[in-house]
Amino acid sequence: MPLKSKDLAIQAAEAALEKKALDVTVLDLSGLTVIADYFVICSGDSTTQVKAVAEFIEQEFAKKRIRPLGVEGAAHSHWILLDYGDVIIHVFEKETRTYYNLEKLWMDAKVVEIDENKIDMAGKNKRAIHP
Amino acid sequence: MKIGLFGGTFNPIHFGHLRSAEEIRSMFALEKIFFIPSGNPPLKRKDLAEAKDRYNMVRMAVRGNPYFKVLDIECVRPGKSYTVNTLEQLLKKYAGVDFYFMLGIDAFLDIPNWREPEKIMSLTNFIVLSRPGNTFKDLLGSPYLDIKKSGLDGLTSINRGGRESCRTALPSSRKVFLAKVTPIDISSTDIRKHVKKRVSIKYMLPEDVESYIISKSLYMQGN
Repeated sequence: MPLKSKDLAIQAAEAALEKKALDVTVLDLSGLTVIADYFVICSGDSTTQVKAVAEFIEQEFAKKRIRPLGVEGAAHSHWILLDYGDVIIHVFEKETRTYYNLEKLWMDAKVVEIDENKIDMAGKNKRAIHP
Repeated sequence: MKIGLFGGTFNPIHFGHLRSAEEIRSMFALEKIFFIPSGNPPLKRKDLAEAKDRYNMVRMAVRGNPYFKVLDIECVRPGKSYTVNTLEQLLKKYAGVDFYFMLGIDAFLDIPNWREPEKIMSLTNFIVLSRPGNTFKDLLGSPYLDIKKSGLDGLTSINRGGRESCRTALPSSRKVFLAKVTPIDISSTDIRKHVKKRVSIKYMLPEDVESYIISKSLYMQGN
């Protein structure tokens, strides 16, 4: 069953969080540009992590029979772009993300809230609950 | 009705293309200029963006100009497009229109190497644009023009914003014009090189085309 682009974007974000990607942001670009409806932007600490996050997202979608239209940057892993048509996922190495600053380029886009608590992981992304 | 035809890879489109087109439009009082990005060639070139991306970038670039229009006629055709076929298709669709095919001096000199060059020369008028690095004197080598040495003075003395018509050596009723446009030394090759080296391309091309290139990570591979 085809996924709506917003759901695809949120699922990509959740997959990134599962692999401990940093600063996961989902931008709603619908109506702003022909490029895509959603950008999912996240960072990895190292090119190794960038590659791991990108591969995990691709695998998770492949399980659902969703394949990317294109993948860019996989050779060097400073910035891997997964093009799913309406949704484009950017996995950046931290310094590269700062340099290209896509969020500033698309500052008119709405930020989509992702519920980080949905991710079942020990530690990192869970918020501490104070009584 | 007079319509200009501006073909190319537009890999990517930039202000050099746009400004030249605007000057030609004005000089020749053309009603419209059709930008025709080429399709994907049969053998994939590493630094050639997908036809869809090049088409989108041209579309964004011409959006603000009511005289400019982008056609996907070559982008939708699978495989290599030949100018002669594109021209025949356009003449069928736009019957009664007088087309003016715009191109640089070097491209005009290359026409004998294209498919069915004499047919091409019979289907459309031509506007040959000055370009940095070429002079109209180079046209002496063209088999289609009838420029005797004495006619050279007229060619070399065209001022910017000026045009000259040229006698053709072919039996068709088509005309060839020479037009001197503002030399803008921006090239798509330089833009792609800058992108690869993380050098700014700001002000070389329209802002939203720049955003498109960055957002889709075009031309960045091979670092």
